[in-house]
Amino acid sequence: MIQFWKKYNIPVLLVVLGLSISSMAFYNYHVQKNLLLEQMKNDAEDIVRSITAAMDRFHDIKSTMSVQKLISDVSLGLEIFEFRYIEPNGTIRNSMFKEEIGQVYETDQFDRIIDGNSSLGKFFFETRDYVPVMAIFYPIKINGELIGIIDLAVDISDYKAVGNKQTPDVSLLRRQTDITNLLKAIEGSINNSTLIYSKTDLNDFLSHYVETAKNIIQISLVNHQGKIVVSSNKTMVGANLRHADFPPPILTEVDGQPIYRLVMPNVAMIDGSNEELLLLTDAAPYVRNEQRLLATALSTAGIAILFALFIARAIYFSAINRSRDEKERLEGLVKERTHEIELLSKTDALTGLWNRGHLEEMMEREFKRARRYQHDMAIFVIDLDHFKKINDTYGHLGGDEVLRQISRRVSSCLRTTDFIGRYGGEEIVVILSETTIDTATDIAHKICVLIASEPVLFGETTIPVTGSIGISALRPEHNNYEEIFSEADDALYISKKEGRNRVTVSMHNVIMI
Amino acid sequence: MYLQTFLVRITLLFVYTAAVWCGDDQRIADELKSPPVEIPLKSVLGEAAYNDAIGSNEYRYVGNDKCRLCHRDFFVGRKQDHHDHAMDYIKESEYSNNPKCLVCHATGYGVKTGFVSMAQTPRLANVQCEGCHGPGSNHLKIAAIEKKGGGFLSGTDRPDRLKKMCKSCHTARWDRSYTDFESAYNKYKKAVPK
Ligand code: HEC
Ligand code: HEC
Ligand code: HEC
Ligand code: HEC
Repeated sequence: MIQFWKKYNIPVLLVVLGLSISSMAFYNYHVQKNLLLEQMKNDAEDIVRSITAAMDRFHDIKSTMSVQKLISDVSLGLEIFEFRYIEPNGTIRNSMFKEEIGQVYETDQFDRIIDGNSSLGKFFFETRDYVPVMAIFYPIKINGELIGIIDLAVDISDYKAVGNKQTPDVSLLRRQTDITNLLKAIEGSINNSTLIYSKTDLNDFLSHYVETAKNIIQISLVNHQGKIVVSSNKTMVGANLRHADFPPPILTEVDGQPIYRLVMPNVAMIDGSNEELLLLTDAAPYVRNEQRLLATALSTAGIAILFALFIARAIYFSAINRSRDEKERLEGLVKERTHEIELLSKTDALTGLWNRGHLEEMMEREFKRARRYQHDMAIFVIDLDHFKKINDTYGHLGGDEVLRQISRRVSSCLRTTDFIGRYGGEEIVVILSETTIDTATDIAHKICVLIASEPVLFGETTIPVTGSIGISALRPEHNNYEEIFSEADDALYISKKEGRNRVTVSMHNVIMI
Repeated sequence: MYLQTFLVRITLLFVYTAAVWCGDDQRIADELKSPPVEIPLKSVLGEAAYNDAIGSNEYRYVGNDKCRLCHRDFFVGRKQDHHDHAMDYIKESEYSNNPKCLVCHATGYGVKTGFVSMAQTPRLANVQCEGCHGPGSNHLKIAAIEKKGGGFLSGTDRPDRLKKMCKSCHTARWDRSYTDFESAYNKYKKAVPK
């Protein structure tokens, strides 16, 4: 488990990051979507409020509209010349002349009534638009309170008894009774129409409302038995809707059209009853927006995940690169160490010269090479004189020091291409490639002189040292390096015998010359 | 006092008789002798079209009070025009019920739903809107529902008929209303034809 974590922590973290970004995107989508829904709900509630307000107004208007309808029905028979419904403050609330509605009514007679000089509900005669009329300002009262005045005039040009006559003739009196009866009927109807609640008319009103509003599809009033009592869609009237059909506001589909459905409980009706208002609005804009939101969320999530993957990949590769570099470094280190170890195994710990094994190897190699290319090659063997005595006199440490310093002196006389090794004890062997016997002899002499040139310093004391050298060089008859080496060794032996501190060239080479 | 009144009456009678003799009286007499004038609407439409239209019951006379609802300016304007007083002389005279005179001095006399008599149809006395434009019921229907004009037998959309309408009343005998017909006609495009 822990191993797994160690190995995959970064990709896992990135995947987690990607997932959290995308879940954030989706959360955002969710929040926005809810906001949209909330907004749609608010809109729908606004609509409901304005509908109820409009319905109130509708009843209001209807109360005077029905008056006009009544008038136009009756007026055919009674030949009404002018009709107005005036508010107590003089504003014309309704009139047969539509352009007047909303204006303030101003005539001498009416002014007199407002000023209290003339009384309401009495017939009077005057001329309006060149036409002689009999008119009345009839008060409409509800519970004793004046709520409006009806101005009603009839054309009496047919009657002879026009003019300034104070006592109208019989037919005019009959007319007055008719008119008073009509006005009473109107008054009753106004009183009633605030109570009468004709649902069929409300249907028309609602359907008109739906027509003019953009997004509304249907408005219905549902009673508590779940029956549609009023609807903008008349075919729905009477339909029964189970209450279970109406959970809180929802988004549904009707005939493939997205619809938002809101039910407002307890909408107070003018007749005092409470009903439920069912509102269906077009949810297509919402669905469009929602789809847009979803697309954004999806692309955000996609981008986040891609991004995470990309970074994971990048990190992965850089990790790989790093580990490769590390590996290379380690390998280099190992190589170096092995080389060192190799060197150690090839060199002599005391003098730093090649050891015997390596020396033999080199002699073998050099021998073969020189023979193949018919090059020159010389070997000489150096042996320090009386080394045993030095050891005995100065101790092993002294001997070691002598060996070390002499090795350095010999090395300093050689070329880098030459090999120098400690063959054992106090014996040093030098392999000179590409070197004739003469040159080798010269070098050997130089070395011999150098060894003896000054004593070795060992602490406070000085140790005088000399060396004997035997030389041999490659010749065609040689079969292996040992032959050359033993020749050199033989020559060394001669040097020793002849008194030490000298160079002896193998006699085979001398004969050659 | 009596003498004064008497003298005034005598003078008035004299002037009146003179006027009648040298003016309208002669034309009236001529008119009375002539065969009855054809109903203006009928002479404009032609017998067949007239019968179709009136027979359909779609064209009924309604009286100018109704027009007032939407054309109050025209109503008021026409109240000041002589056509609206065309009955003033007739209804006080011996010809008040004479069909020969009513054809030109009332609205739609002789046509079903048109003027009958001062007693029965006082609202269609004089030459009203419908006397020129023809029965208005169809227009009322169109205007009330569609809020636009049209629906007349001789409305503004048919100036040929409307002009013929004028001429079927303003005959060779009754020709003292205007000298230039076109300018007289055009005045009626305004609410007050002055
Ligand atoms: C063809 C239509 C026509 C007929 C029929 C007709 N009138 Fe007229 N009348 C007119 C016209 C048009 C005028 C106004 C122009 C003019 O005076 O020429 C007029 C004017 C008058 C006037 C003078 C203006 C006035 O009102 O004081 C009198 C009077 C009169 N008519 C009486 C009669 C009598 C009476 C009859 C019936 C016997 C009669 N008219 C039949 C068309 C007619
Ligand atoms: C004497 C004949 C006559 C009488 C009466 C008459 N009109 Fe006209 N009316 C005309 C003529 C002529 C025109 C112009 C037609 C045209 O445009 O060619 C006209 C035009 C009109 C127009 C259209 C005006 C416009 O803006 O183009 C209206 C509206 C109208 N009359 C209403 C009435 C009403 C309402 C009455 C009655 C109150 C009435 N008329 C009485 C002859 C008459
Ligand atoms: C309900 C309202 C209303 C009533 C009532 C009414 N009209 Fe109109 N009338 C109109 C309207 C609207 C127009 C079109 C006006 C416009 O286009 O400016 C019109 C146009 C006219 C025109 C000119 C267009 C045409 O068709 O020739 C005449 C003439 C006319 N009315 C005559 C009358 C007469 C005559 C009456 C009475 C019988 C009458 N109107 C009653 C509303 C009404
Ligand atoms: C139904 C018959 C009739 C028709 C149609 C008729 N008139 Fe007249 N017109 C009369 C009569 C009658 C008088 C005389 C009224 C009076 O003076 O009492 C008259 C008077 C006049 C006058 C004189 C008005 C004045 O103020 O002195 C003019 C102008 C006139 N008509 C023009 C026309 C025109 C234009 C038309 C057609 C658009 C027309 N009339 C259609 C019957 C008619």
